[in-house]
Amino acid sequence: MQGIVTNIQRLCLHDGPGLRTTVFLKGCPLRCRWCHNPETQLIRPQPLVHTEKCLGCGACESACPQGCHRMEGVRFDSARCVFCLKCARVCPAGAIEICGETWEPGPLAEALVRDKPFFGESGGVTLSGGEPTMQADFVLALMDELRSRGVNAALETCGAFPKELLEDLLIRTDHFLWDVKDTDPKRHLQNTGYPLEPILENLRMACAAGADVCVRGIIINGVNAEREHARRLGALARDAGAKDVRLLRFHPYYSAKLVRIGRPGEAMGQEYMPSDETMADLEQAMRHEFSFRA
Amino acid sequence: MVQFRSAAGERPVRLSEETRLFAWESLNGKYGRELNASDHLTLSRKDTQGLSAYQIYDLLISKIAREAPVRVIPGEMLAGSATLKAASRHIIPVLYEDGEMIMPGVSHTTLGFDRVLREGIDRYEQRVRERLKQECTPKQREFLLSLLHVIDAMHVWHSRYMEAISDLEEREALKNVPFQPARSFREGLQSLWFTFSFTRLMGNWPGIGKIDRMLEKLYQADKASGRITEDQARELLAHFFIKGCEWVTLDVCGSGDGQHYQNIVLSGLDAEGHETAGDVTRLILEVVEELPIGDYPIAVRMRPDSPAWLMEMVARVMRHGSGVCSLYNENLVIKSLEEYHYPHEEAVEFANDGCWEVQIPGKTRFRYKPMDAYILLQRDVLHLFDKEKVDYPCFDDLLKACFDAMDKDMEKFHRMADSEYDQDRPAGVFALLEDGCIEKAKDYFGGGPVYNVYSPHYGGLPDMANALIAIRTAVYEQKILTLSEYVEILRRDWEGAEPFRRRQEALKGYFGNDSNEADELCGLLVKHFIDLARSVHIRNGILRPPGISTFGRQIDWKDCRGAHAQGKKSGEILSGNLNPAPGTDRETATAIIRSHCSADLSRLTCGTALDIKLDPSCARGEEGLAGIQALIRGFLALGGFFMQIDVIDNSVLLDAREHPEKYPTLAVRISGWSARFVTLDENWQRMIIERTAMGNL
Repeated sequence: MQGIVTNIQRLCLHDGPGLRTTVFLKGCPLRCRWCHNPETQLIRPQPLVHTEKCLGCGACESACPQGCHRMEGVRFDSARCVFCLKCARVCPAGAIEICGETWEPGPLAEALVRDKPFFGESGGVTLSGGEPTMQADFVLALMDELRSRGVNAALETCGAFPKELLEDLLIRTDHFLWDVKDTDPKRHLQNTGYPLEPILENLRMACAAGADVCVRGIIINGVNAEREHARRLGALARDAGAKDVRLLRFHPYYSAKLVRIGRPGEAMGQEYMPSDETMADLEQAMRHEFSFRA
Repeated sequence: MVQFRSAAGERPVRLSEETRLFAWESLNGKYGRELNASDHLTLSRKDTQGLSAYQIYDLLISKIAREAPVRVIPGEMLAGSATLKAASRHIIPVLYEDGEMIMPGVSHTTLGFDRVLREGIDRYEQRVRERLKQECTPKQREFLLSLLHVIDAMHVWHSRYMEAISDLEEREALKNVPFQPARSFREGLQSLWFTFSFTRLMGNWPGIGKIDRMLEKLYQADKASGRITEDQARELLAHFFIKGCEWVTLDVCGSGDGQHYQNIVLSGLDAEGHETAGDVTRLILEVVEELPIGDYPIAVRMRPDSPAWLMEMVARVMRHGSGVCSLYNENLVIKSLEEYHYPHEEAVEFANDGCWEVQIPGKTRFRYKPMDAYILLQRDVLHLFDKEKVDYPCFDDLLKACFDAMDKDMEKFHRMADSEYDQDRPAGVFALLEDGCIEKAKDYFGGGPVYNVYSPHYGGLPDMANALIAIRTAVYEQKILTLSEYVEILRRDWEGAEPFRRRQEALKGYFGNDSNEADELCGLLVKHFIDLARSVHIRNGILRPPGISTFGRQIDWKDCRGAHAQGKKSGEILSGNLNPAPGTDRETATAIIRSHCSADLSRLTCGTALDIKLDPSCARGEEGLAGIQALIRGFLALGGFFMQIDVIDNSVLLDAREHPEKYPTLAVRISGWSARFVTLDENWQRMIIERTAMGNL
């Protein structure tokens, strides 16, 4: 069994309890307008162009059958890319990286637990993406491998997975970081291409089964940076029985990633990033609702 | 109100407003600049004509004690000062009229200040006089009499202070010490500062040692009898640190403006296996959490089972940057010393030489020899600087050539250690405070101390490993070119080979990325060096414990080295100590720690240092605190030796380089010491900026 991984990131302090190593898996059923990891959306390996390393030799331009690469203007446009990866193979300067490495669960677990001496009692490994459950069998096998090495596993999920999978996840996952992109069903569908309700149903079932769940909601100016959304998020986390709920701030720093995967111009700008005051205000509204018990 | 902040946030406020203001003035060079007016004293050549070396030494020490200006700063709680600025230049601050130095100072040893606190200098005088009654050669007698001169000079200096001080409490605290044993916490601290600043005034650079062990019992006794409160003790300790800034001028001076930057060592096990960290340890850490003082740097002795409060407190200090706090893995250090045949009761007393090189304080004469191992590869193995044809049929042959070059180099070191160790010059100020000198009637440089150490220190081993990896990949594995073609490219400094240079630079497996291949190779080089150093344990009475360091010498070495097989042109600053080279470490701090610890450092008795630079975003809040503790925990578990974590925002460093006036007190960790960033020269600033910042969000 093999999985496709975009990156392994060590020394992560905000991806679950303690110090963690996070593995980013490819593939996601959502297409969030603000996706911070757009290189993980596709489940297949794809070219990632680092223009700052380019020597301008034109080897990629010659090798690409689809004409995606140019030496002037927009250097890489992936609209017609067929993912043959010929460009990456011919680049002499290592400026085109293949994003998406194939791993077996055992060796991947071995790589992920290298920082075990730093994990202490609370730290461990976080599976992120993309949506890790897009590679469900691989994720379950990987979690088994981690457990056999005495390392706890956190799952960063958007909750968009078949409910039949939940039982298998519950017995293997120590912490869920459950990203609810929006609390307005219409907006959720519009901005992510995926309905909200199945996600919330999974969330409620997971909490009801006693899972350690932290609900997280991204706040984006002009999309959902409003008190009503914050209150609804607090309430749904409370009603589901989540252990905690947190707000995440949208930031525009992912625009460079879009350029690298050949989708320049899609980034949402600085104006979508909420201010400190907005975040504090929404945090208060959300926290008030979350801690309110009838 | 004076309040200090760092990139990680506001620093806590526990000290009085007066003390924080005193700190602010000191850090901004107010008192250091005052000393520019009293740089040195002068003698004419005829004053020293016909005198023996000891007579000259005695003359200089007495003159300083009599004539150096006495400085009493209103409001200060500790009396004493090293008021001749030339002392900061490692010379005895009495010069000939034409500006020529008469005698140099002494450094790289932590003196036995703890014994001064316990016994008082009068007892030392008694010991000297008793020894004089025994059989002595004329030379021994001259040395012992010189020690009495040093004690006389201390009395002169002390009496001048007693006359100058009007504050009754300050007079009371100074009255008995350092000549009598310290009877209270304040007397203890006063005794330590007076003795330390006296040795500094005389042009020496001694380390300070385990200050918390010296003071804890005195503090507890005072506290129990109601003579002192916790707040009062903290204020006194703060003054001790602020006095340590009395040479700060904020003038650019290579590796930082002149300062008292000698390490303090905190906590750790005693001979019975009890942890010594206590209230004084905590109060000291609270002082440096509040004040951005990198002088004195603090090295905390830690173990996986160190008290949780100590681990947390160290992390709290570290997250504010300034590089003030570093740590030893004391289990490993003690094991290493014992394995090097130091008795257990000596090994547990370890401190350092004022930087981080491990030694037994108050008993050691220490000298080290810095050597560039990487130049051996470039000069003797690859012949970059001559036209000799290079041909090693397989990688193992190339590696063996490296080992052979190291063999020759270390053989040379051992021969040199045999013949060049003794310097035969007077050093009574140091010798007085070193166990063994009085009893043997031998000076510091004449074999007096209990342990005489000449430590070979290699630098550039990670660069050697990286270059070998680059060559192995291109020549022996991928067979892109021959070794002689590769060497030709390096001789041309990569001219005409830019794509290949980039390719080599982009290789992923360099040291510092937790790559088994690089770590094993570097580990082999480290092991070979240790074996060579330890092949002679003691000869001619000289111990030779190995260490790995550069202490910033990678800056000077860059001009002697050629182009680098790992894709860098000549003139690049490469690795410091046993750290990855700038830019080659593409993983995080945990990967660097793993790489660093992959070699068996338990046999590296003199030690090595790992420098970790964290972005402030990794250090903020409770998560940041937990993260720093996790790094410490991992470092200890993986068998590291000594680690210094600095928290710096690179954008701030870049701004400080452009606008130094905005950042007068911004302190950074250099190697075994900290310095104000704006006082570093261009090369040193570049080295700090290029040190990789690590940590993910």
